[in-house]
Amino acid sequence: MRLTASRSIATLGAGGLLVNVFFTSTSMYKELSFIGTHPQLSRDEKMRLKVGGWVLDLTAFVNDQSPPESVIMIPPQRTAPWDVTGHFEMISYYVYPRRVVHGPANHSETAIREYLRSHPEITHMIITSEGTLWPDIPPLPGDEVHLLKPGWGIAKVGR
Amino acid sequence: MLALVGLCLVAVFGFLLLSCAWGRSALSRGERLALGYGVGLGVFTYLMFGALAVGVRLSRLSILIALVTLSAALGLATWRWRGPSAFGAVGAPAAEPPATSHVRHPGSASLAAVIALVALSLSALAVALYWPIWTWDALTMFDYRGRAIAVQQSLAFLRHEAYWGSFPLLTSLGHALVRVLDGTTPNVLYPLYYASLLAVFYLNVAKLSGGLAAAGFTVIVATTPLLWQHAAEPLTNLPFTFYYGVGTMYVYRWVVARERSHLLLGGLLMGLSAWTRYGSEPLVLAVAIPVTVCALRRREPSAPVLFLLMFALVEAPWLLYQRYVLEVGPAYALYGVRAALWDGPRLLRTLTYLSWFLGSVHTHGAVWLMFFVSLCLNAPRWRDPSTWLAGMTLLGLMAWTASIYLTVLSVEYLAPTSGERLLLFLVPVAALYCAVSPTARRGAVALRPSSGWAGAVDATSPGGGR
Repeated sequence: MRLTASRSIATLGAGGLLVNVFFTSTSMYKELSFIGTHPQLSRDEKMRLKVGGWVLDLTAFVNDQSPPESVIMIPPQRTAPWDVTGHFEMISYYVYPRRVVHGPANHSETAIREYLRSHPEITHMIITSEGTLWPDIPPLPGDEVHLLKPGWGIAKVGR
Repeated sequence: MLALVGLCLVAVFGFLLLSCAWGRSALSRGERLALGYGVGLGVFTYLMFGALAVGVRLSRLSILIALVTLSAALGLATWRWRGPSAFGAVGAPAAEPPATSHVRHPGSASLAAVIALVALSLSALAVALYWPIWTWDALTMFDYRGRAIAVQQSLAFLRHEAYWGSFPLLTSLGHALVRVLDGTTPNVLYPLYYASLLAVFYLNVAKLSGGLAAAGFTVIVATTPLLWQHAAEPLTNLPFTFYYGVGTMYVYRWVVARERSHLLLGGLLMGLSAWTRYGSEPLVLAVAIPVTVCALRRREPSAPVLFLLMFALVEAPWLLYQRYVLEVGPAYALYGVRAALWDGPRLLRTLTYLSWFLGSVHTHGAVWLMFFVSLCLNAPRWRDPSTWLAGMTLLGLMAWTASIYLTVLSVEYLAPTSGERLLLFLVPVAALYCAVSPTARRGAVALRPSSGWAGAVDATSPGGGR
């Protein structure tokens, strides 16, 4: 009886090992064959494959157009319609060492201008068309707008 | 290159710390080498945290000097206190029977297993070094904090956003260490955890059930699809699995051999698991409860106190720093705990996810299937030490369920993402139970009649149920 149980566990162990080896070797083969066929990809190309290109393009543009000590205002929420450009932690990672702050929950021009007045540390605003244009306000004299493409870019806040 | 030197020094520091504090009577040289990296990184990142908390800047030079000085001091202390042999020969603990001959002279199965484990670890290392950090949580939390600490040489930024201050710092400080030492791929930390976990698992099972069981079950753990995947991903789950899984192994060694130093090591490793990931308390309770019951049965009331003290010594300073300096709560406080304790449909949904994960062989492999079959084949008995391990695993599953059930986040959001990853922590524990259950030990004896202690430690034999 005991030997039968031991044989059962040994058979189960061998079966379990085969199951594990099958699934892990499948992922391993997939990963290693990709690495073998794409050994020269740059870091940027690899990131584009994993996270998509547009957010990298936008944040690279933001980094080009703003000094490292900038404080950048992003949309007020990280839920729809600004799932990515309103994601505080993720945008913080890509634009580091620039600091990031959320904009006001109210999207009206008056609310945004008032928010900028009460937060003088904010130097730039990201411009995004992820779902809906934000901030949907006309630039004031003194604001410097730099667009990567229509609806996407960064504005330096005129003070 | 400098980062590689730094990580080697961290492993040496860990090895010497274990040699000094535990010595060869409690841990063989192989175990100290296998544990050195994880213990060294855990303790050294804690020292980095202490230094940053009091305003010390961590330059490349200061880190290297600290590592060399600490290692030299520990080496000298070990030499004086434990003698020169502490660094050398493999020790056979007095309280345990000697290791079987095939552990010291691996047979063909062990050799094949070692080759497979090296191949798996190297493939994980290749994947980790190839891809930049891209996983969501790794980008926004662990690597972000590592990069910020390396550049700013301060923890002040953790106050800016409650999210950043809510998680313990071990992996982020590991990333900072690599970056300060001119490394560009902190991902390298994770395959090293994977290799260390496998080495410690192999050595423990070899001691408890013999080389053949060790070879087979270590390869089963190593080829668990989710574990291999996490060996190349900079998330906290694999380091947490290392500290929790290995901590449980040493607690189990205490159950088997009553060696108090193993329990203390288990407590330290459990403490380091809390330094890796938030919300470890209910999971640690899954080990602390069997420890308490076992200790009370043996009339050793101080054992659970010592175990929890070791855990608290590591966890408390960080919690106090969070509460009084950063003025943020831990992540479970950030996301909230449910006010209503009873919610039948929610509990049912949580248990449905749990059963789904346990049966998902494409992610969790066959370990859980083997665990439940082993459980059915081995009736629980007080005298069988593996019963305690089965208890720890089942309580761990209950603790996982409670962790998901009690938070305010929706089960549908939490369980399939971080919930499934979190469940990884029990894979080595469940596999250890399969490897040391009476059925597996008898199987090892049947397949290798001369396997010595592996067969002698049987629940039904005298002393087997120690």
